[in-house]
Amino acid sequence: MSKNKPVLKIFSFGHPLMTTEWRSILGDKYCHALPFDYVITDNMADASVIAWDGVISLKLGSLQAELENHLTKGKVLLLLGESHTLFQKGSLVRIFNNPEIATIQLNGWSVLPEEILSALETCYQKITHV
Amino acid sequence: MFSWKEFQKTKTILSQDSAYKELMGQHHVTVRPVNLIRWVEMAKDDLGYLTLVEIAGADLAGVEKSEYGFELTYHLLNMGNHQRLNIHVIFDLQEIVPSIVHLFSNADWMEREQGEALGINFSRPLQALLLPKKQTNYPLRKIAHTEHWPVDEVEALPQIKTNPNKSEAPYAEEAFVWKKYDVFSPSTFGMFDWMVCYDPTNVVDTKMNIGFHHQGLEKILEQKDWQHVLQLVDKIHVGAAPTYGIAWAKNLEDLLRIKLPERAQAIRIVVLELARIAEHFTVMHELTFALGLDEHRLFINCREKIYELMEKYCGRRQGLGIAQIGGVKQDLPHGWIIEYQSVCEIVLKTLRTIHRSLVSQSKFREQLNGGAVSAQTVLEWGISGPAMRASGLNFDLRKSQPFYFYQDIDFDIPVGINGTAYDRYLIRHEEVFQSFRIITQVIDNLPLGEILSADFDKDFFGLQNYLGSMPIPQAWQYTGIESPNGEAGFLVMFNQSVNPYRVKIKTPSLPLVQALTHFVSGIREEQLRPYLASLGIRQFELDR
Repeated sequence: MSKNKPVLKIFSFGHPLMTTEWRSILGDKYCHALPFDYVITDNMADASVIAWDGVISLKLGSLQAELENHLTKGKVLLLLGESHTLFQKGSLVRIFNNPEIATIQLNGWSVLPEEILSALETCYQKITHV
Repeated sequence: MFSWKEFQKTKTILSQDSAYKELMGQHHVTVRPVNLIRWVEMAKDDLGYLTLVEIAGADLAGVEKSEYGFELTYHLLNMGNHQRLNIHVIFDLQEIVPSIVHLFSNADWMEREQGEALGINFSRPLQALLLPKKQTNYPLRKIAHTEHWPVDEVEALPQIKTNPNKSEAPYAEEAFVWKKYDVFSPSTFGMFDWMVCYDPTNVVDTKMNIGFHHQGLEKILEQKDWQHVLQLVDKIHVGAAPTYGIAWAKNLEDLLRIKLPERAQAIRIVVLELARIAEHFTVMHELTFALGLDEHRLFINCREKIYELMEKYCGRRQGLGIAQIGGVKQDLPHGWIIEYQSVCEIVLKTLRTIHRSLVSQSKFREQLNGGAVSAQTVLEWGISGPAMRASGLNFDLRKSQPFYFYQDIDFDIPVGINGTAYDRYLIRHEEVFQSFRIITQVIDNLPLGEILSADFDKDFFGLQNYLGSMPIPQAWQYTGIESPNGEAGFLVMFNQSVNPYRVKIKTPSLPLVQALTHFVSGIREEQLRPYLASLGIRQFELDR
């Protein structure tokens, strides 16, 4: 990792792609594709990008305030994919409609690493230029 | 290995009761709740059915001529001679079903799951598992309201009053420390809420709260037709996508007695093994990533090669949507085999180098040692896959009940000794070599011919009409295959239609999470993440 380059810290939460395609961007094939460095962090508070499928499940409802609190602290929300849920999506809409949360959305389940990189670049621009 | 001789012996014993039925090489008995314990005890103690694979409940409101309102199916496995027994309990809602948790420890979560989803009364008080407490919507009933739900409060840390091990306390009681890792914590991989008790350095007990990503997948699948189910089930485990698609297709094919063309079987074996290799690389990457070792990048590089192969075959990196009823969607493209041979050579060479580097590091060996899990514990909790084999049990569905033509392929099943995370790593590492060995043999002897049964070479509506015209019984059908992390399959109730009436998903991750306390007992806090990574628990496999 170059010392001069800025580093984008990504926290990935609640999406099956977290264990699949997110990991691909750590490999040698993609890791030097962007003009900045990125790391997948374990610390949500420390992250600048939070990748999420956007589904507030029944049990996640109790943690919604905490989640929203994290998202409004100058972070970018990267929404990934479509999810099928049996349950209502009312609480989810509240986060989407919040003007304080900068959101980038990716569609589709089978997201390619190239698309993730492109989305990360947009997230980076949001953070550095806004 | 499955044997018809043994099957007939068990059949003779079981069929002395008039409620016996045989379907697709599995035993089915139907009993009333009052006889359940007697049957389960007999199955376990006298007939050797030591593993409870799954419990599936169904609301029979849509079943014609049904005498009772509900049914619970207990799916048991005899690992010795690979026979499967389904005990169907039929009852009305006001009746109480006896709990079998004293016979099978893993029945606890299964009963809780069926209790909350269908509102079944078991003979013990049940806590909610996936849904909020005090909900009365019972989403798996045929007429269920899913609009309004209560919200759970965040649980406080337990007060320690006694030694959680219920043994002689090695420390004063105040030396125990509970720590909470919520769903946002790195130690839980975003999957569950976890309270862990330390003594104060090593784990002695844990409390688990799951269901944070519960999306009601089983109910969603019930509302879809067989073709849509095929699309959706691939997403249960995106990293090894063909696994669940093939398991679902195989379930229908077994029910309808469809014979697959040999080439289609060969291609399915190839993609299943590629998915296994890719998943093992993911787990080994997560393991090394959690330990902060640089080798994690190399595992991803190897996996990338496998995904490229998959993409060249079907156009999708993880192999989504390969399976089709009656065969596979695409044939291997021209030049793919040469490509495979070169990838195989590069990946195996890289893997040997990474392995040498890892095992020579004392940090790697030390961090993954401790927390041994015995074979008895593994059996008791219904664990399967590498986590089971690491504890010394030699059981793999590819060998014990070979599907397609696995029985004609020469390969070994690696088995561990201690049941530690280090053993699990070694098992996965060796399984990668064995999977390449399987693919190479299949490719060297790749049968010629069609990739789809002639009856199924139709468009969607043609297929729908064809399947609609086939006689389908009202029956439960279980098909499991060996996924990278253990036994994966579907216990499906068909009600005279090819579309499922009730789908119960069997995944290897849920038993692992249920038994997690045993897997982490005795380890230190910094070992939690690598230990969890070594198990290969997948978030969507916890969904029901």
